[in-house]
Amino acid sequence: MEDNIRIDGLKLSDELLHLGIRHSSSSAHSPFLLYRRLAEHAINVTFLSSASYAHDIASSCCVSIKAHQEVRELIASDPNLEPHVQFFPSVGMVSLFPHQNSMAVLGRALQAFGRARLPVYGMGSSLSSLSFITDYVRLGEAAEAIKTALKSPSNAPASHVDL
Amino acid sequence: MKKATENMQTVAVYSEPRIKTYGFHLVTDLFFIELLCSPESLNALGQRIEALGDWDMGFHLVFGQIAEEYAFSLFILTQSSDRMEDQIGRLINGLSDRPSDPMSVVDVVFFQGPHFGDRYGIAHAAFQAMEARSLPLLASVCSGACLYLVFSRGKGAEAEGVLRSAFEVPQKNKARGAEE
Repeated sequence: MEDNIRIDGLKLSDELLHLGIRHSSSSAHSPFLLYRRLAEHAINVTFLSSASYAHDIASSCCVSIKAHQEVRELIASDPNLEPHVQFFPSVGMVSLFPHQNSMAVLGRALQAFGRARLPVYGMGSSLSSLSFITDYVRLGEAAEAIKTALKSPSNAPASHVDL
Repeated sequence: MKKATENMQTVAVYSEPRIKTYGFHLVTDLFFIELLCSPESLNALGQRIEALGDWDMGFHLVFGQIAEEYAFSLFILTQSSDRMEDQIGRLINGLSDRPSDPMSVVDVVFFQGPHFGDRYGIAHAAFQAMEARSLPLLASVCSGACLYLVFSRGKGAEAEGVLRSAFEVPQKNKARGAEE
């Protein structure tokens, strides 16, 4: 059977800072306090995810690496934030499109990361794109792994964009 | 000599009483599935998910984040059906080291607006609106310019109403919201 699973292109982000946040559900403070602080400091969040469990809420987000120092300072200065946040500097986001809401596209992309032993710190779908967060220094490798797993226009380089 | 215009960046600064959107979308009764896997089993997970495509099954929303140390949680939201429930159950039992939890059924509200990909404060405004009304948020994700919010089954319409009050909705969508 002909393999007709294909995508139209890839997009690579600039270097990002990845934050992991975990709050107890019984905490008196909002589990989304970090997003309030980032908004107060006019810092754009380029990726976020959150999931609520019985006893806690786990969240993850990315901001530009250029905001690294400012973000560290605002978190360090807030005792309601500092114990709950982990820093993972120097990540990047590779986005493929369109995902076509396809389990086959999703599955192939996951296989690409698994076979290449590329870490996945986060991922998410949007209206047409499917994005993966991995080590920034390996972003090009991730793009090549995805292009091997999913057909894309021949010789189409992954475009690098500011996020 | 470098031109003064090199290395300049444009930073968008918005000042509006309510953030403008293109409108809100509500999808109800989706299966909400969590799959837990180690980095070593990502390839196997991908193979099984690819196989779901053979059953003509698609996802409405997917996201993932680090769970416990070294583990990864993949969340899939998909149309609920008996066939999907059966196939997902096989997938979970074949992969996870822990007993599979019953799949929950949820509602999703998603929206985007002008320059959502490069402006700050959108997520905070949405979370703040939910918390002000004590509306529990099961999950959220934004990887591009569209913000997705996941609620318990039956809570999606209420959440959409809260968001319509907190954000600016285009005039024609306001009228549609009033008719519904």
